[in-house]
Amino acid sequence: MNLKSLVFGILICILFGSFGCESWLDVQPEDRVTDEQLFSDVQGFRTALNGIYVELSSGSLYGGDLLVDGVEVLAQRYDFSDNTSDISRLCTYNYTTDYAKNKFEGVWEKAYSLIANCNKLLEYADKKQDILIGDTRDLIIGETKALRAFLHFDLLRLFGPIYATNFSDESIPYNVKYSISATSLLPANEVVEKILADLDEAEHLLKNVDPIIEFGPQNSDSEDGLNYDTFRTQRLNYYAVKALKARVYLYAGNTEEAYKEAKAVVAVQEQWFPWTPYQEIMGGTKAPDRIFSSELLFSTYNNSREDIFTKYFSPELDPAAVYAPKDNLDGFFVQERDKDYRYNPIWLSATSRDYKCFHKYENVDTDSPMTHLVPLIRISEMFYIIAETATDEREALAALNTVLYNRGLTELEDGNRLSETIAEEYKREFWGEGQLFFYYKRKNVPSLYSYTAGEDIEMDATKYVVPLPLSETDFR
Amino acid sequence: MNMDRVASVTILKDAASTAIYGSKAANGVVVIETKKPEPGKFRVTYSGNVFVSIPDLTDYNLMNAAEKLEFEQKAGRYISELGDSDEYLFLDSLYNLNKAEVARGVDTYWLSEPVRTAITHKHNLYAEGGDDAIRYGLGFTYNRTNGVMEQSWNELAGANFDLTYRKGKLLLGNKMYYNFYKQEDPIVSFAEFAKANPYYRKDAGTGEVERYLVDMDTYSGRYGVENPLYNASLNSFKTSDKSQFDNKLNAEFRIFPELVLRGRFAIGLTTTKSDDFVSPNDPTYDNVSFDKKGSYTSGVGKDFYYDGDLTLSFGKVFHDKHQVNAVLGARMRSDESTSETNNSVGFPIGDFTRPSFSTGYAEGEKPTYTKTVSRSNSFYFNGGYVFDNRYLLDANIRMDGASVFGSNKRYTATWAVGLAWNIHNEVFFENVEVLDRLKLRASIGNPGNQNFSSYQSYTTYVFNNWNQHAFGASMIVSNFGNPDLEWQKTMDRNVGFDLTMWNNRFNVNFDYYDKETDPLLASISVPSSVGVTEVMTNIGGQRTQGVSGTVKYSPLYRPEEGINWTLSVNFKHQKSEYQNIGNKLDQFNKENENTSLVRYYDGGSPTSLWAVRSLGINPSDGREVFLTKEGTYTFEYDTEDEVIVGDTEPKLEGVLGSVLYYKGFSFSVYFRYSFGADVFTEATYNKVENISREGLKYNQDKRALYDRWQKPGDQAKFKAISLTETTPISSRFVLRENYIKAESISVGYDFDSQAIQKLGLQSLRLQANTTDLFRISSITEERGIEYPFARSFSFSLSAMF
Repeated sequence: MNLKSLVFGILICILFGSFGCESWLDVQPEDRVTDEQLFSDVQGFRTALNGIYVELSSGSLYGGDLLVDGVEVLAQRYDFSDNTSDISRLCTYNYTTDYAKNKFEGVWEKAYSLIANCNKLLEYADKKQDILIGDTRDLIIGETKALRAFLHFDLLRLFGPIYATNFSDESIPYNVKYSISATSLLPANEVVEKILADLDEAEHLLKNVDPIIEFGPQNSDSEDGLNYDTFRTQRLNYYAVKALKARVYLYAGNTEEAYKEAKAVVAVQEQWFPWTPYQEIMGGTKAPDRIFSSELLFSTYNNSREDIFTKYFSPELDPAAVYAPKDNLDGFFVQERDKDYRYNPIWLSATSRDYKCFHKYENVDTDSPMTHLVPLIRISEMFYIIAETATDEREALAALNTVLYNRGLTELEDGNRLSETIAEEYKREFWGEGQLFFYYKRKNVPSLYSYTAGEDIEMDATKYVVPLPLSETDFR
Repeated sequence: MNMDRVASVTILKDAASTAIYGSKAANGVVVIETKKPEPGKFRVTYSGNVFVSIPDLTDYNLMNAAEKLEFEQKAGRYISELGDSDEYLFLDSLYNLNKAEVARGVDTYWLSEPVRTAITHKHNLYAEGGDDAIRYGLGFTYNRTNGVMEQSWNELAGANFDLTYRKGKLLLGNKMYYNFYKQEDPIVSFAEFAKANPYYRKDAGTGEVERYLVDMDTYSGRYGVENPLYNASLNSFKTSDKSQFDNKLNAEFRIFPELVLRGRFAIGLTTTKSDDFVSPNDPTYDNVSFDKKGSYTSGVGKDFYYDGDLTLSFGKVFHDKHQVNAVLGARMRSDESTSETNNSVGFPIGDFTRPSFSTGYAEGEKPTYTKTVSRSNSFYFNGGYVFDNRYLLDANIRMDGASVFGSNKRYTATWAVGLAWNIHNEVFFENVEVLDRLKLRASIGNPGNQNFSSYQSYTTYVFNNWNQHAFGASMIVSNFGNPDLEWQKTMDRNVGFDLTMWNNRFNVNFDYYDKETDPLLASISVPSSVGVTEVMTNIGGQRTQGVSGTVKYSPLYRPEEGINWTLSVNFKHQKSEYQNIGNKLDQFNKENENTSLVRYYDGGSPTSLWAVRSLGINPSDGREVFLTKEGTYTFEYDTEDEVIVGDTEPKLEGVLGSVLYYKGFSFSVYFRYSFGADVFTEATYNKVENISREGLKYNQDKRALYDRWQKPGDQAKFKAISLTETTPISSRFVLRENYIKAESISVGYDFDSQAIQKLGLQSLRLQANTTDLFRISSITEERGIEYPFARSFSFSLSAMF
C-alpha cells in the first residue's frame, strides 16, 4: 500500500501540478516576443525604435545602395570601364538586368519593411497611451514619424518622377498604417504633402522634449550608460528634422520654406555643429576625422562600417571591381584640390595602384564613435540650400563662402559662378553619401558624363526614374 | 526499435479510436507494444542480422568520354558567348586538351570510385526471468552499419533493463534503456563523382592523386577543376555521436474489478555532438591566407523530455445486456531542446585536426545558441455503451492545451462519435454458419490539426543585434501576423464494415471517408510596399473523399498441421478538390506559372498538374510545338494556355501480398502497385533539357546527347541540343505512371522445437529478406545522384535458449 500511495502520489502531484496553473504552459522562447509583450513597457518602445535605426545600416539602405553603391553608381561617381559585368550596364541606366532589378528591389523591400516597423510602433503608441507617456512619448513618436518620412522621401527621390517637370505623376505608396493590403500609388506631390505632414508633427513633438535643443548633440556616454538623451545626432533629432524639411521643400521646389528651415538650423550651427578644424581632419597624432563628425546633423551608427571600405573602396580590390573614379578624380576636384580638406585627407594613394582610393569609411584608431558613423545629413547642406534659395544675393554668396572657407578653399568674390559652384560642391562634399544623384534628378540635369561609357549620356525620365520592382508591380 | 522486441503493431484510423490521442492524431495512430518477459523461467534470446548492400550503378546512364566531348561541342560549350577573342583562344585550347585526352583513350568511370559492397551486422541479446511477483529482463544491442559510400558508417551499442512487479491489485513496470550511437559521413558526396567528366584521368600516370583534374592559367585568371578523389583523400571528416537515456514507468491499480487507475511517467535525455573538419589542404582554401585555411565546426545538442498520464477507467456489464465503459484521463508532456554550434578556422597542414590547433573563430562569426521549450497537456473523456453486443456507441471529448507561442487561447477541444452494429449477433443471422462476423461502422469527428506553424497570426519581434549601438537592445519585426486568421478546421466522416467468413479464411475491411477542411491556410504574395512579400491568409476549403479496404483469403488453411497460405490485397482510391477559393489566389497562381504545376482553383485538386499542352518537337527545326487553349498549334509558349494535364493522385494504389507457412517454412512476398497517376518528370526536365551553361562543364545523362533533336527529320522527344534557353514546363514532361514493384520478399524457416532441444535451444529461426528487388513501370525510374542506389539483402537468425 505504501509503494502504491507513493507512486500515485507522485504521479498525481506532477500531473495536477501541471494542470493546476496555466503558467505551466506559459513558456516563452528566448529569441522572440510578440508585439503585445514587447510594447508592455516603455523599454519595449525604445527597443523597437532602436531596431529600426539599426536596420538603416543594412546593405540595401545606408550601408550600401543608398550610400555608396546603387545611387552613387547612378550619379556616375565611378569608372567601371574595365568591368564587363552588369554593374557597368547600370552606369548606362540599364535597369533591366537581374543585377539592377535585385538591387533596387532590395532597397524598396527593406525600406518598406522598416516603414511597416515604424507603423507597428505607432499603432502601439496609440494603443498604449497609459504606458508610453510624457516626454518619452513625444520623443519616441516624434523620431518614429520622422523616420517614416525620411524613408519615404528617399524612395520618392529614387522611384518617383522628375519632380520639377512631373510632380503630379504616380509615384509610390505612402503607408501610415500596417495593413496586409497595399495602398495605392500616389502622385509625387501628394507624397510630399504626407512627408511634410509627418515632419511637421515630428518637429512639433520634438520641439519641447529633444535634449539636443538645450544640450546639443552630447557625443559621449551618459553616466548611467543608457544614453536616452545623448548621441542625439545618431537619432532623427529636432535639427535633423528641420534640415530634412529644408531638403524636402527644396526637392519640391518650395524655395521659400526651404530657406526658412535651413536658416533655423544654421542659426545653431556655431553652438552645436561647429566646423571640424583642419587639424582634426588630418588627425596628426590622433585619428583623422574624415567624416567631419562635428558637422553631422544625422548619421547612422554602423558597427561594420569598415566592411563598406573593404567591400567597395580598398586599394586591395581588383582594379576592375574597385569603386573609384580612377584617373577622373580631378573631374570632381576641379579647383585648388590640394587645399581642399576633402581631397588629400580622404583620397589616398597606394603603392600598388596608379589611382587614389576613397578612405572616408576606413576604420580609424579611436575610442570615439566617429569610426562607425555614416553621415546622412550634414550642416553644409543647409548652407548650400540658403545659397540656392536666398533672395538676397549677398546672403546666398555669404552662405556658400562659409562652406568654401571651412573647406580650405578661396571664397567667391561675386555671384557669377554661384550655381556652378553649388553643383561642384555637391560633387565634392557628398562623396559616398548618396546625395549627388538626387541633386542631378532635382535639377533635371540634361546630360551626365559617364566614365564607364566614356561619353555623355542624355538624361531623361527613363534614366532618372528607377522602375518600381516586380515584387511590387506583379501583385498590384 | 529492434523488431525482435515488438509484440504487436496496431494501426488506428477512424475518428472514434484516434480521438483518445487527440489533435496530434489527425493522420492516424500507430500503436506499438513491446514484449514482456515470461514469468517463472529464465531464458536467453539472441537475434542476429546480416545485411549486404550492393551498389547498382547500371541505371545511371552517364556519358562516356567521347560522348561528353561531342555533347559539349554541339551544345556550344566551346563558343564564347560574348564573342571575346581571348575567351575563344582559351576555349580552343581547352577543347584541344580534352580532345587529345579522348584520343589517348582516357575514359574514366568515376561512379565506381567512392562505392563499395557494404556489410551490416546487428546483434541483440536479451535475458529474462523472474517469478509471479517480480520479473526482469536485461538486453544488449550492437549494430554496425556500413554505407555503400566509402567512409560512411554508423555504430550503435545499447543496453536495456526491464522490471515488472505485480502483487494483488497493483502492477508496476519500468523500462530503462541507454544507447550510444556513432556515425561518420563521406566528405565528398556521390554527386561530385557523378559530375566529374570521363575525359579526366584519375592520376597523371604517376599513381599520385593530383589536386586538380585541370589547372590552367588563362586570360581571366586560373581555371581549375577540383579532383573529388583528392578531396576524399584529405583528412577532413564529418562525424557525430549521440547518447540516449530513457526511463518509462507504468503503474496500474485495480481499485475494484470495474475500476482501474493507471499512471505512466517517462523521462529521457538525448545528447548529440557533431564534428565537421575541413582540411586546410582543401582546394576551397586556395585563395585564403594560411592563417584562415581549414575549418572546424562543432555542434552540441541536448533534448530533454518528460511525459506522463493518468487515467481512471470504468467498465461494467449490467443485466447481461448493457455494457458501459468510461475513461477519464489527463496527460502532459514537456520538451526542452538546446543546441550550440561554433566554428574555428586556421589550421596548420598535417594531422592537427582538433579545434585547439586553430588560430581562432572565423572573422565576423559568432557561436550560435538556441533553446526551445514546448509543453502540452490534455484532459479527455471517452465513453462507450454496447447493447447486447449488437449496438455500439462510442463518444469522446478532449481538451488540448499547448504552450503555443503567442497564443491567448491555449486550449482547443476535439470530439468524435462513432456507431456500430454487429449484424452477426442478430437473431436472424444465428443460423448462418459461414458468417463469423459482420460489423457496420460509422463515425464523425473533428480530429484537430496542429501540423502547421501556429504563431502565424501573431506579430513577433526578434533581436537584431548584428549592429550594436549605444542605445541598448534593439528588436525588429520578424513576422507581421494576420490577426484575422482563422484556424484550419477539419471534419472527418467515416463509414465502413468488417466481414469475416468461413472460419476466418475470408476477411474484408472496407472504409469510405470524407474529410472536409475549411478554411485552409495559405501564404499569398502581396505588393512588397506592404512591408512583407507574403502573408498568411484563409482561403476556401478542401474536401477529400475516398475508399480504402483490404481483402484477405486463405486458399490453404490447416492451422492444426502448420499449413496456411494467405493472399491479401489492399487498395485505396481518393480524390480531393478545392472549394470556395474564388479569385483569392489568382496572384499566387500567376506567380507559380512556369515554376510549378500547382494551382488553386475551385473544383481543382491539390494534386492536379497544370501546364501548357505540348505536341512534341517539330521534326523540321527541333523546336517545341504547343497547343493553345483553343486548340491551335503555336511555337509561342503562353501561360494563358495552361490546362490540367494530369493528376498525381493514382486512380488505384495498394499492396498485394502472399504469405505461405508450411511446417516451419515461411515465404512471403509483397508487391506495391499504383495505376493512373501522372508525374512531372523533373529529372528529365533538368537533366536532359535545361542544362545550363554552367552545367555543360559537368558530366550529364546520355539522353541529353542521343534523344535530342539534331537534324531535320529527327523524330526526337527532346528539343535541339543547340537551344540553350530554358524550356518552359509543358505537358511533354508529364507522363502517366503505372507500376508494380516487389516491395519485399522474405523466406524463413522455424526449426522444429523438438529437434533443436538437444542443442539446448527452445526456438531457432532463420530468415532472408530483400527489398525493392524489381520494378515494372511505364516510366523509367530516375536515380538521384546524391547517394548511390544500392540493392540490399538481409539474413537473420533468432534463437531462444
